[in-house]
Amino acid sequence: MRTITSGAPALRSASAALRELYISYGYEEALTPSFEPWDELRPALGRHALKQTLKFIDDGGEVAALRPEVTAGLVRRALRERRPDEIRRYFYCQKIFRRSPVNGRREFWQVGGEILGGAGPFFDAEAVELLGRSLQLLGAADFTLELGDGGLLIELVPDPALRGELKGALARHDGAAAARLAAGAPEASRPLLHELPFLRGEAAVLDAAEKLAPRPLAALARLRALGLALEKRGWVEHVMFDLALPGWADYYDGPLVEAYAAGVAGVAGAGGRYDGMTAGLGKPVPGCGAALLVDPFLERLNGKQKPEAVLLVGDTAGASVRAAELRVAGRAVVQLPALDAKTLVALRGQYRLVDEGGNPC
Amino acid sequence: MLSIALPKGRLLAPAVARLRAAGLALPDAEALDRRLVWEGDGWRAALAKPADVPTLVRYGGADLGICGSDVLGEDGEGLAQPLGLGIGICRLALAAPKNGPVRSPADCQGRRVATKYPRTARKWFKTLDVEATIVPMHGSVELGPLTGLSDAIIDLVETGRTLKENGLVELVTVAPVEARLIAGRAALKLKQLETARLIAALRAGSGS
Repeated sequence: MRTITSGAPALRSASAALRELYISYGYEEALTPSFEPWDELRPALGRHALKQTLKFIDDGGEVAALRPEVTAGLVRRALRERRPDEIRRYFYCQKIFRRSPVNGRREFWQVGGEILGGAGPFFDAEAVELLGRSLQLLGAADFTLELGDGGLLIELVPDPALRGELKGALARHDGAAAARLAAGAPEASRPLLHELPFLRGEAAVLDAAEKLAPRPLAALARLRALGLALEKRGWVEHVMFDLALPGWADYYDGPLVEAYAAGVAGVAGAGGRYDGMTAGLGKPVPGCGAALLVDPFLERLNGKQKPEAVLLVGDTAGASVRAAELRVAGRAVVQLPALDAKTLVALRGQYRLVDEGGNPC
Repeated sequence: MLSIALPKGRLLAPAVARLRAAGLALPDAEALDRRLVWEGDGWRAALAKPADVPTLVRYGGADLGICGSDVLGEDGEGLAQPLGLGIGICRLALAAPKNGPVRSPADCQGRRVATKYPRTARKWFKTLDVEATIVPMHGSVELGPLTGLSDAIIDLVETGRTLKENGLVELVTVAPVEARLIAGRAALKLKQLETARLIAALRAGSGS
């Protein structure tokens, strides 16, 4: 049964582990406001966030948005703080207020990182690696990190309207619709567009794509470089290329990643490069990042959480001193006055019982 | 194990026939309809109301599903739709009383239109720049004009017999409808071999 306390221990341990992970890579923790000014946030939002943002009129008559994603707000603020030529790494563990792509709930926890000022595959690979390490930390064994590039369709289809429709068809894995739409693209682009839905696999799909491409494409070169950078970090096993990957947010205009894990129905995590977004915010700084949806993994961890507190029965001065000593020693102690046998039996299932001396009883 | 959500009702028999032809050893539709969940060698089938099939697939209750494009027009977001199955072919159409005021989509301006497909209807009227008031219904939409609740309806039409029996005339097709195979994005990635095999077999069977 899901109760108001059942998710908390799992969230605490998961977020602690993920915080440690990001800190070990030199990331600084960022906190962004729950409410953001809508007019400032809106231009940078991805399509899902844009549609699902909860908006309010504040006491000044301005429209305030309840945080629908972190990246846009964090990057906007971080760009103001960042000194020129600096490479800054941020991470966050925050609640997002929109429909979860995994279970449809209206709010969900997300842990992610952003790198501002880092251009090229080295930094893209770091973001992908952190997503993979996050999955492993939360107990995922059977997972895949799918790599695509948000710039590929931009290179192949100059018409933004057609590109949008094609992106939708590819996101639905609707090969027939994609083929129909590809007929409206420049002739030289069509051979590759026709094959895009089927180009998923190891690095060989990049070879196949290069043969079909109308000219050397920057997106394919970026993906090859990202694959090599990940290989240097030891990430081969879980990595796949999927050239039809639509991307979680519209602002990804370079390499992007989506994570899928066994037992999680939708995208478990995602990220990518968003250099165009920072340019749109007036400061063209290279930026990339990725984030994991934590909740699906919490549900699995919930059952594994054990009672952490010990129950110390007694209301004497000695009992209080002992409770204080145990707390100083790092133990959680619930102190109760003398109890009847029936209550004690009920509490045994909830806590580990110790006597006034701190010994199991 | 590949799990698939199947729609109860008129689509069940042709959907089962297509899956059996693609090599999935399902019982026939009549037997299948007696239980909610069936399991066989490498597969599990769950029977659901058509409108629940996208939900089951989206949230991982099933890897794959079969449902009409009419249902997906209302609730298809985030789902992969790799294949049209060539079954359940019909259309969503605008219909109105034979001698009523609505003779074309433009006549719906400022009028009420009853439908089980409010999202699709709103989207369609928007493309035509017509502001109609959509009245959402769950059952017999023909009741709309018959009771004065609405001036027209948008509903599924196969032969047109139900419309005729209720004094309604089909005016224009809103969207063609066909049953589609749908899939959860994670299933397509993590069960790539099984899903690709079934999709290929279904595609070979439909010739598409």
